[in-house]
Formats: sequence, structure tokens, C-alpha cells
Amino acid sequence: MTLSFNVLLTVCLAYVAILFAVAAISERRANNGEWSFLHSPIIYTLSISVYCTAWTFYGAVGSAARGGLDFVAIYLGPTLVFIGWWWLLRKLVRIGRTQRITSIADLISSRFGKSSGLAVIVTVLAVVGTTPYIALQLQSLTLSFSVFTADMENAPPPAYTALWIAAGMALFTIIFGTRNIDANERHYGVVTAIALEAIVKLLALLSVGIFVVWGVADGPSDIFARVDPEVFQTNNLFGARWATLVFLSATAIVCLPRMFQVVVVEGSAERHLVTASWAFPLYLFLISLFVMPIAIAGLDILPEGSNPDLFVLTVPLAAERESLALLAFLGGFSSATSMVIVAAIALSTMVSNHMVLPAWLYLAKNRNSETEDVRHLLLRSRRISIAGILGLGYFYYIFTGGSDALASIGLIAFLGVAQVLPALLGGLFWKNATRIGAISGIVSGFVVWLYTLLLPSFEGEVLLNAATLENGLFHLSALKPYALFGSSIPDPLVHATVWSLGINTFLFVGMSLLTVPSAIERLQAVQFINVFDRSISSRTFSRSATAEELLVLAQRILGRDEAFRLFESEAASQGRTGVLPEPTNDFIAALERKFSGSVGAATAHAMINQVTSGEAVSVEELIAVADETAQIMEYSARLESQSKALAETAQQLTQANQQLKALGDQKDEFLSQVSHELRTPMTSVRSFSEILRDTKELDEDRLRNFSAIIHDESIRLTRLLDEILDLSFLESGKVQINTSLVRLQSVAERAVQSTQTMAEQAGTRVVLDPSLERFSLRTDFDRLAQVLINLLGNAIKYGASSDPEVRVSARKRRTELLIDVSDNGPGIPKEAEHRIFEKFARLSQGSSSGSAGLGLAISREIAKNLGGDLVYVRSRTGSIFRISLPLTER
Amino acid sequence: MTELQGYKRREEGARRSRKLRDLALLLPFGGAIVFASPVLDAFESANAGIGHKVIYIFGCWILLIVCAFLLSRALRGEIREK
Repeated sequence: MTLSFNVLLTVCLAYVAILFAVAAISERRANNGEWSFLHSPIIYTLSISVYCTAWTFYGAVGSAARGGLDFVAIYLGPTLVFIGWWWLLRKLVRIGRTQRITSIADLISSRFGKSSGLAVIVTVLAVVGTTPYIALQLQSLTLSFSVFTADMENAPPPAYTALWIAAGMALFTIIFGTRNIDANERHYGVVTAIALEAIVKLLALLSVGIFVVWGVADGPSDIFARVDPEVFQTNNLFGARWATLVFLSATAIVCLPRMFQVVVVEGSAERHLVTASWAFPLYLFLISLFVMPIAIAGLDILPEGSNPDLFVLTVPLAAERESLALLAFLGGFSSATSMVIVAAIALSTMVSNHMVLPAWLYLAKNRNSETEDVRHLLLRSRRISIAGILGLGYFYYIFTGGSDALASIGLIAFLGVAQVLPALLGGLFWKNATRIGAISGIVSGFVVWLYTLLLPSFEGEVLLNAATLENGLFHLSALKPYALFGSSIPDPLVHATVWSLGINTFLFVGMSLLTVPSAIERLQAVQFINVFDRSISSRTFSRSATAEELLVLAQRILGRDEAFRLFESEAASQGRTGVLPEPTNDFIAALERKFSGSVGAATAHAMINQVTSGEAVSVEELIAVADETAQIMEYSARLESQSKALAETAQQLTQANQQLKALGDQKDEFLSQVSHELRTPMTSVRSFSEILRDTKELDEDRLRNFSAIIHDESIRLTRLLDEILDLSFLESGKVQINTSLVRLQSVAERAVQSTQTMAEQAGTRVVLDPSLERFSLRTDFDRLAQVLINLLGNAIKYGASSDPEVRVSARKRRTELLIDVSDNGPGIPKEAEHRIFEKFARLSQGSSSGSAGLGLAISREIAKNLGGDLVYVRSRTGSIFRISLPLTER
Repeated sequence: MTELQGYKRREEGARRSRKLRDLALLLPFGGAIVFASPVLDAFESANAGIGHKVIYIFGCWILLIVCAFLLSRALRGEIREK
């Protein structure tokens, strides 16, 4: 008994209806904000299983039946990538979310300076690589249909079946794949439907597998006992082909547009990746667990010459298990449809964002495009793209019509999209990768792939004819498609992999090193490579635009309500009333990122630039984005200089504090000394005036004597106060200096005259050295005389000796005039030297000397005010006070 | 004392998470050695049936998945979503 075609069709349509219902319900739940189930890591993991297409569902068993364990390699590559999620997938998902990446082409173009050219190249590559793959799914589906309709009179032709399937899938994709233009938002309906399909295909394969092992055979050992050793060569599984398969399948998990779509674009949470890291390998493990037994059983029980690609269906049918065969059929149906739907969404996003929209923008430059709504254009172009891509797949299927060429297209497509890998990895981890490098690598790899693998796979029917395949282009043996440059790699896949990716990587690295990245490339490089670094803020270029222009643009892309909501919330956060916010750089950048979630980074960038006036990149910004190392160095240098400055300031503060303390101490001391000095004369004035007041009879002599004492003490007080006043004036530098040309000799003579009486009383000889006559200088005569008088007075007073002599001499040292006042007295005790210029410093104990001890302090201040200094010079023969004065003209 | 203990515990925690991250890098390399190097054929005797190879591959595979599962449990805390 065979299943009737009508039953099959009914089951099929019912299944499709269930898929539509599931998609619709989850869309509605998502709109109502009921996320918990839709947003679970399990759904995410199941949606990744779109990796397992009809090619793997049916083809894995076929491959196992033909070549043994080779098929496992296709699952081991993705397993390795997923258990290594920490260093690649995590970064991809984070970048996808922060940069609002919409497709693999968007990622590459965004990383390399939002280049629209690069986006177009990757889009073309993706379309060329994916269309045959879609055709392959159609072929698998029609083939599986034909199993049930083989002996039916009125069976529809395969082309007819394929057309209906393609149309149905286009309808589904258009309904659930283009609800929202923000490609960065999850397509909940599609994702949930795909998750359901993932469960169906796993259940189907497991059921068939369990039936085979325990239904057809007698357990695992029995199955493996039925192996034909001729067919399953198990020795030396590892080799160039095995390694290539593992590598290509690992690459495919991130580079295939549909895989990128489900892993990065739809997967918005890194925590989902945590679960998928083990759950997806587990899924692959379960999918491939029974492949081998089914293949062995198929070879064992089915007649020779049966198509091994259909063992999954034909083994249950041969055992007359129609329901199981139906389940298997639904599994294959699920595998094919989920792949085609996701691939169509991914490709249509790429085509409309990177090709249609830029072309429209270019054409719209010449017209008034203000009023046109980009959203409608975008949705329409996406819908047309979906239909177009499925149409392309359909025509490809009709054109190649079930040839063997199609069967091997899976791996050929893997290598095609793998050409993106060097640019992708370079973009994520290598800062010096440039746009030119990426373009050169991808284009060269693409060309080599076309020449060595895709075109030869048509066996001389497309572009390259059989002769060219045999002899090489232009009959150059170096250009033989299967033996490029005379290389002898027997397996064409390995050969093409080595050459295409080799040349690709070489040119990518080489051209990157030869070219200099532009400012925006560097900016994007830093944002991609350091995506986990929180300190890297999203730097933006300085751009300016009016808020009105931006609002008009936003309305065209996001829709009126969404645009107004966005602008109002920004205006509110800026603290402004009304709709229009200040168009700051940050706001423009945020807007661009928002747009790029809908139209891709390159187009968003171009659109924003249409309304903003130029990107000005300042040198600071360039330096800032140039290099992370440079940034850290800059930062640490700044820290270092800051801490150095801090240390210096602290030291200065300490010094200032010490000085202040010392000054405070000096002030206290000064005050106490002043009061002490004032107290002595005041006491005598007070007591003598009390005597004068209280004593009735006082004789004339005593009266005069007492009055004289009061007078003298008053004079002394006045002089003391004068001196203090003078000193304070001198110290504050407020004193008036009257300069004139002064002969030194006459100053000295004046000083000698003034101290003559003193000298005579003390019996001191004052000698003026003849050297004095040689000098004259521009200075204040009276002030200099005052200093000399003071020094002479001191010398006469304290320079006591048996034959006291005071000598005044002068000499020139460089630009200074040095005037020495020396005596032959006992000199000043060493321990007192540092105190002699202090105020109120008196070396003799008694106060009888009649001075307050301000003389030397005043003299030094005068010397300083005259531009020189006064120092004490120790000498064996007495003491020398040395005045230095500038000789230069003031 | 408690402060020192707290510091030690934090230090221990940081060391543990660093080790985990290194382990996360190591796991795919371990997998590559098992599956994509001549090790694959190392334990093969000349006339052993296909069963042995199947057991080797699927055994290593499930072992790797268990490792990934344990590692993902441990690394769950390292993922901080905004």
C-alpha cells in the first residue's frame, strides 16, 4: 500500500497551516509583550538548526552510504565553533547588537568604514552562493515527493511541484519576514516556526533511526555487523579532505547568510549563546547519531542501485511503515523550508539594503525626495527580493534539472561564502585591516572560487567549456581549473579551498598593509575590536544638521509616529519642550545607528550625510581613535603628569606652609620684641612722670634731670618707631629710592663725618681706602650713606681691640661693586653669625648700647632695595661687612 | 582578619573566572585535536570495523558536549547583559 498523493498533499498543507498558525500566534504574543517563551535560549538554539537543511537531512545518509564517516565532518566544524563561542560568537553577537547589524554584508561593510561598495560585493557573493543552495532544497523536496508519486498516473511533473513549493515559501516569507522593516528586530513568527520545524526534523530522523536499529535490525551491534567492508573504508579518515570539510563547515556557521541571520541578527542576547554553546552541538550530535545505521540498513535491505539520498524515506517505505515515512517526509520538508525561508529573509535584507536602496538614493538625488516614504520602498523591495530570490532558485533548479552538479553544491556554496572569512576575522581582531584589503581579498577569492570550483562543477556547460577545463584558460597549463599553477591536489574541493582562501588571505593582509585606513575605518575598527571594552565610548564625528531635516529623514525611514516619539523623548531628555531636540553629535550618531537597524550601516551613513553638513574630523579625534595602545599610553601619560603635578603642588604647599609657620613665628617674636623694646623706655617715662606729678617739692636740678630722661626716652621711642616703620617700608618694597650719580668717596666721607664723635670717643681710627675714589655709581646717596653709617657705627661700637681700626674699601667684581667695612676686632662668634641680620638681634647682653638691634636688618633691606645685598664675611683679622651693589646703569 | 579573608576570596574568584575564560579558549582547540588532526586515526588497528571509529567519534563528541555544558554553567555568571 502506498500513500496516495492526496493524503500526502493534505498532510503537507495541514503542516503548513500549523506553521502559519504558530508564526501568527507568536507574532501576536510578541506584540502583546509576552516574551518569556519566545525569548528563551531553547528557541534560539532550535532556530540555529536551520543549518541542517534537506541537503543534510537526506544527503548525510547518502554521503554516509557512499563515503562512510565523511559526513560527520560537516557537523564537527559547527560543534567546534559553538564550544569555542567565548572568543568568536560572543563577540559577533555583541557587535551585532551594539552596531545594529542587519546581515553579514552589513557587518563587513560597517567594519570597513561603512563602505557601500563592499556591501554590494558581499551581497553578490551571498546571492551567487545561496541561489544554487535554494535550488538544491527545491530538488530535494520534489525528489522526496516523487518517491510517493512514482507509480501514480496523474502525478504532477517535478517542475510543477517545485513551483508550488517555491511560491508557498515565498508567501510565508513575505508574510512573516517583512512585517517590520527593522531587520535588527527578531522575526518572532519565523523564528518560532523554524524552531518547530527543527523539532520535527530531529524527531523524524530519530524515529527512523530507532526504527532501523531496533525494528529492522536487532540493536546496534547487529547493524554494524551488516556493514559491507568494501563500502566503508575506515582507515585514515583524517586527511586533506576531512580537514577541509571540518574547516568549511566551521566557517559556514558564521559566514552563510542564513546562519548569520539566525546566530547574530535574530539572536540578540549573549546569554542565549551560553545555552546554545552546548545545546546546538547536542542537536547536531542527535541528528547525526542514526545517519550511519540508516545508511547501513538502506544498503542492506534495499535493492542495488537505489538512490542513497532517499534512504530516509525509502527504508521505512520498504518496511511498509507509511506513517513513519510520512514523518520522515515532513522532516525533510521542514529542513528544506526553514533553510529557504531564512535564506530568503537574509538575502532580501541584503539586496534591498545594499543594492536597491542605495541605487534609489542615487536616482532620487535629482528629484525632490523629501516626501517619499523610504519604508514603503524598503518593504516593497524586500518583498520583491524574496520573490526574486526564490524565483532565481527555481529557475536554477529548472536549468540544472536534477543533475549531479546540484548535489555537490552544498560544499561549493560553503567555500563561496567562506571567502568572507578572512575579512570577517581580520575585521574582528586585526586593527590594521583596511577596506581596500577586504575588497581585494574577497573579490580575488570569489574569482578563484568561481574559476576553480563553481564553473567547473557544471562540467563544461556554463562559461568554461570542456576544453578549457582540460587545458586551462587560453591553453595555459598554469591556469587549469583543477590544477592551478601546476599544483597536484587530487580533490577539487581541497584544491579550490587552498587556492581561493590562500590568495584571498594573502591579498587581504598584503593590501591592508599597503593601504592606510580612513578615519571612519579606524573609528569602526576600534568599536568592533574593542566591543567589550566599556571605556571606549562611541565616538562620533562632528556633524551638524537642523533638527527639522533630521526629523523629515527619520519620518521617511522610521515612520511618522516612531520618529516623533524618538525626537520627543530626546528633546525631553535634553530638557526642552516641544518636539525638536538640539541636533547634537550624539543624537545624530544615535539616529544613524537606529536607521542602520533598518537600512544597513552604509546606507544609513549615506542618508544622514545627505542632510548633515560634512564630517569634520579633528586631529584630536583621529588621535583618539587611532590606536587603543596609543589611547592607553596617552591616558597613562596624562595620569603620570597629573600625579607628578600633584606631588609638586603638595611639595609647594608644604613649603608654603612651612614658610607661613616661620613667618607666623617671626611675627610673634617680632611683636614680643617690639613690645619689649617699647616697654623699657615707656616704663622709665611713666615712672619719671609719676615722680614729677606726685612729688610736691622738687628741686630745679632733679626736675631738669628727670625731664631730660623723659625727653631722651621719648626720642629713643620715636627713633625705634621710626626704624620699625622704615624697616616695614623697606621690606614691603614701598620705599622711595632717589637715584643719582654718586661718587663713592663722598658717601664714605659723609659716613665718617657722622660717626666722627663716636670714633673719637672710642679711640678708633677710621681709614678710607684710596680705592674708593675710583668708583662712582648710580644709586641713592642718602640710603647708601645710611648703610655705611650703620656699619661704621657697629664696627666702632663692637670692634674693640687694643688698636682699633676700621677700614672702608671698594673693588669691582664683574658687574658688581663690593664695598667692605672691616675692623680688627674680635669678630662675631660663629654660632651668632646667622642671627646678626635678624631684627632685634643684639649680641651683647646689655641694652645699654642704645640701639634696638634693627640697624643691620635695615641696612640689608636698603642694600636689597638698591639692587644689591649685604653679607657678613668671616675673616681671621676681625669682621667684614660687604655691601654689593650693581654697577650697571639702572 | 576578615578583611584579609574577603580579599583572598575575591582574589580567588577573579583567578577562577580568568581560568574559566582560558579554559573556554582551550576547549575548541582540544576538540580540533580530537577531530581534525591525525589523532583521529591514531587508535585505529588495521582490521577494526567501522564500529570502533563510530564509537570513538561519537564518544569524544558527547564528552566535548558535556565539557561545554559544564563550562557554560560556570561561565554563565561572566556574561553581563546591559
